[in-house]
Amino acid sequence: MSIEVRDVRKSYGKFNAVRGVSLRVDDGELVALLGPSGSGKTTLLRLIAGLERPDGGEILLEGENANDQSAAQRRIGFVFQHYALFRHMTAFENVAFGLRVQSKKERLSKEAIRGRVMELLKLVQLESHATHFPTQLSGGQRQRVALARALAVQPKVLLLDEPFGALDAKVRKELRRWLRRLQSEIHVTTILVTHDQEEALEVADRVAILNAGLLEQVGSPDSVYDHPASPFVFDFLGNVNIFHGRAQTASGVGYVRPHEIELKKLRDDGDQWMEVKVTQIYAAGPLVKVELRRADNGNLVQTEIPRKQWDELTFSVGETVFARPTAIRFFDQDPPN
Amino acid sequence: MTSSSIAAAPTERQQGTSFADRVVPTLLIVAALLFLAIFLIVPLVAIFFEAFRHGVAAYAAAIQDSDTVAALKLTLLTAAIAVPLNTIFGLAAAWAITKFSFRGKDVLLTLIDAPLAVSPVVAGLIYILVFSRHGWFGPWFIDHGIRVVFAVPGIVLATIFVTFPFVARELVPFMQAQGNQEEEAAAVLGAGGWQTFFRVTLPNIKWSLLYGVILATSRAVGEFGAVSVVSGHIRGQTDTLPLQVEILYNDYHYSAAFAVASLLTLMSVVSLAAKKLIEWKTNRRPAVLES
Amino acid sequence: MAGIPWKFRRQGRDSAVPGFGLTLGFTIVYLSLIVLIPLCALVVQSTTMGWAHFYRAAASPRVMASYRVTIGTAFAAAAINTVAGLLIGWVLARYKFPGRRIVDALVDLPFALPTAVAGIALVSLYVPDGWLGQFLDPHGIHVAFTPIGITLAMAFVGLPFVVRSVQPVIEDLDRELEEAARSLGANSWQTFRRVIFPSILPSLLTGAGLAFARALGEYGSVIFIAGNMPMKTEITALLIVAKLEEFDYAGATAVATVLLLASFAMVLVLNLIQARSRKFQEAGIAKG
Repeated sequence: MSIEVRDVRKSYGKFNAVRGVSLRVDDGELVALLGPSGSGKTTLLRLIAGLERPDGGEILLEGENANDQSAAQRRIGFVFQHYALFRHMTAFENVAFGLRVQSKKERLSKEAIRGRVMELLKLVQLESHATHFPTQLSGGQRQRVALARALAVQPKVLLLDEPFGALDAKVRKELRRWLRRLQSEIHVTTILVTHDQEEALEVADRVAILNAGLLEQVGSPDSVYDHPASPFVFDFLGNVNIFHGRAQTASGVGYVRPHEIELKKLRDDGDQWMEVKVTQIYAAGPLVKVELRRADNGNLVQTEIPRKQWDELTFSVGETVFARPTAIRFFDQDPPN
Repeated sequence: MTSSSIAAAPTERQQGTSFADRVVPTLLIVAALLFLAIFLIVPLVAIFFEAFRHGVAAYAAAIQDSDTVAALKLTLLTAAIAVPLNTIFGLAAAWAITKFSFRGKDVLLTLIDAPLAVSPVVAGLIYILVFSRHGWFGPWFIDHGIRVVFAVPGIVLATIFVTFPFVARELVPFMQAQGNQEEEAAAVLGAGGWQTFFRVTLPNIKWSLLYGVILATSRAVGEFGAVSVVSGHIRGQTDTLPLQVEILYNDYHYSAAFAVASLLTLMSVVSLAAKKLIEWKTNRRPAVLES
Repeated sequence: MAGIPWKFRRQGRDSAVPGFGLTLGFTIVYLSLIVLIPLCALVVQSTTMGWAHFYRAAASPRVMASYRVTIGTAFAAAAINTVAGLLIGWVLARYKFPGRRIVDALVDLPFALPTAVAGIALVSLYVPDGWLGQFLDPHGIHVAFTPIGITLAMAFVGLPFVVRSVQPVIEDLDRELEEAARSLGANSWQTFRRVIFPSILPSLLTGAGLAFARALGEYGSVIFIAGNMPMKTEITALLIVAKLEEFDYAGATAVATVLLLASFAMVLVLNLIQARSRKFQEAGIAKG
């Protein structure tokens, strides 16, 4: 089912959470709503879900206006950040819940329900935990039960509100890859809310970046990373160095990513190379992070160099070297914050 | 502080530890236990002592006296009406207050607590003002042949008033702490209001609910002042057990009065034990009724 | 939903959770029928009887005497409860001893026991030939049928308020504060007086206030031991009942209004104390 929001707005008292957002999600797509806390991404998700009513604008499901439909009527599946599992029911009963509360006309037989539930538990690799209560499950397992529960009623859309936010880093990474695989298997239209840009870029077909209730940019992960549309997007999606001034054809505020800076021991052809002094070296990990201080204005510059390259260069702290950006984007303003 | 006085402190502290910290706790415990013994336990013992003063046979006779039995029935009937009604109210109020946001919530909570601040005698009086012959709605009821005050309905109403907030006060903070996510999840999965309440909410609140019901029942059974004012004291008809205690006492049937009192005491002890069991099971603190 | 001020979330009608109209509607109707309308009747009756009549009824000598008796004994009872409640709350919160659980349960007995039962039990103990009266009377301490008896009965029903107000606060005290005081050289008494007591004072006052408010309106446990002599040992609650039995509805209403206002005023004061102490705590936490 395709989803479209047109100029949707929502305020809470004086606080404008969503200030006119338009977005389209195609059938079977996985779109990530990315942004800092307070950007309105969770509110937008809840508006699409039917857990809140918009103050203005329309929410269209498969082309039809769904503003007046309740969450259940929209046939959506929702996964909460803190799972919201029914604490006094087993994993089996949790997943079966949506099937058991259906009206007599629609309800499946007991055996059919049992079959569907076990099938889903197998899908999320938790059949052996069917009789366990939420308190007996780990965070990652609980979230998988929550997912199975949402999928049990065969929703047309799957909405996930920071589903991995409460888990630790390693589990988060595993689960996001697992979600990606699952989604490509069952082809349900999915919207994922997250504040973790790494997660969004890794998992989504398209990323929608929100800031203070407005949509800053929508596009594939590559396109938003390589061609950010605004200073906010550039800054949010990774670290950035700021250079004021001119370079060849453009002027304004220059944005350069840490890995887009070349380093050299000896000065080379003229004014592209800046003189810098090495202030810190963080050598742990696959990338070596070097902090440099510019000789001309004393600003700090952050660079990242792959390990292999570093082994060939070998600077030490205090040494004077030369740096040059290999790619610059220009905007009119400094980054927000 | 000079360095020499800092050096002096540890030895002083050691000395302090040995005397004060060993003897004082024991003294305090003994003082507290002594106080409670005289203040609480002696009266308890006295009740049963006086009740059995003339032997078991006399006790049995007092318990089985027809007026007393009628009073027992009325007490139980009153509680059986008042407590469920206030429980339903408590559930509804707690649902409204904790699941939604709306203006005036604080006012509502204060009004729900109001009966706790009202003296029992005043509680009875206000129902007389409404339902008596000279009251607001009294004439309407009397014309239709319904006696409210000085009859059972008045007793039930006054009891409802004094036990009004108990269930709500237990449920509201508990449900607030639990949050609404499970109910939202149930709504998204297609459950209707009643389904959500019975399948999701009720199992989560059962101990708090039971606790509130016990508090309300205990108060409903033992209420004296409010019921005394509205009842008219018609023996065998409008007397509850606590009123019967007063009647027997004022008639100098001391032993019988204490026999009936002992019945009420047993009920109190049972409800107290039930309360404590729930507290221990759920790790909650004892309720302070008015705060 | 981070970043959104709590009070702005989810208006009633738009919530995904159903049942707003039904539950709020029922709540308001039931509240009005049981609590608001009857209380209004009291207020209306009071205001329509005219100030002169009201004053005559609510300030007659006998009524004024009852105020003195009631307030005086309630205050004395609250004072007793403060000391005893602090002692018992402290012992329960800090020390382990055999039978602690039973004692903890026992403290709630005055809450659970019907007031009439407490009333006849207390009077039987303190009459001159009662179990306790026989020791006190020869020394000139007459308890039954005097204000002392009234005070004791009020203290009986008020004790749990103080204990249950102060006990959790003592349990939650930060041990590190005490240890800091000790390490600076304070002995046990100084630590108690300067560090511990100020922290528990608000809850102690709240408990005492609750006990006082309860004692003002207490009826069942007091009327047996009081003697009920007008001008001397007649509490206000009993006076209201006496007027009702004489069918002096207006007089009863006037006095009841005074009693009600006093109780509500107490509750207001208590809420203010709690609000102030909370602000104080929060400021302390913010700075510390």
